Amino acid sequence: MKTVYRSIVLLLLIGAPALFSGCTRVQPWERESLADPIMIFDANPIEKGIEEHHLDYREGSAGGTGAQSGGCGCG
Amino acid sequence: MKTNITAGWIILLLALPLYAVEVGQPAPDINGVTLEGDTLQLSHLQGKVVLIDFWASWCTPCKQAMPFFVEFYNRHQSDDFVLLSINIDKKEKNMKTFLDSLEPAPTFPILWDQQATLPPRYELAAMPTTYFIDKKGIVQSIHTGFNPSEKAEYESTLQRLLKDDNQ
Repeated sequence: MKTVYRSIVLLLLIGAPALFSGCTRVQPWERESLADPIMIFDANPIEKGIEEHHLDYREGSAGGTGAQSGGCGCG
Repeated sequence: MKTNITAGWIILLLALPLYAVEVGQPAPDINGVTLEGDTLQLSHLQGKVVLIDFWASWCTPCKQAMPFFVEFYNRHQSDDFVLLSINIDKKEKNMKTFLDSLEPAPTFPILWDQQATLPPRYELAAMPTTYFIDKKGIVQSIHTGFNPSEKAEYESTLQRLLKDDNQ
């Protein structure tokens, strides 16, 4: 039983770095590509951006639709 | 032994955020050549209040803040004040296109940090981030983001630091 337990722990210790090696925090100064309007999840991202801008004005609201084009996510 | 190693790792992980620049700490030195071709070193600006602004042309709030900083700098140009603007665009063209669109054009020193080597040293929490450095080179204020309602805050911080001759 103890051997099985040790094997599982060992497997997790070896496997965890492999699983999580791709997870990293994108720093605020590294968001140039992410901030590009083309990153908007839509077939026509540029038009979508204009539509959202109109909506913000019409409804007196902003945000809630994405964080593209703002390094701090507040743009 | 195992407990000591685990404790060591936990202490190391907890200590990591302590390396971030904080109010009351000396500002990490900055060396570079401005867009005008002048050599600039932050430590040589002691005796003046310095406002460091990290920005990029892909950052909407950074661009919103820029006309204010141009006006703010022009208004205080005769004071012991320097606005040090640090751009981290990867493409020079993007930076210059935005700067060319500004009216009036900025007259403060601008450093182009293409490789973004300075932001990690200052541990920016967001873009834009501004730092008020006092006459002794100590960080006195850190501001993240930009909101037009905060303009008065910049003015009062500068006035406070300019008046403080005991620094």
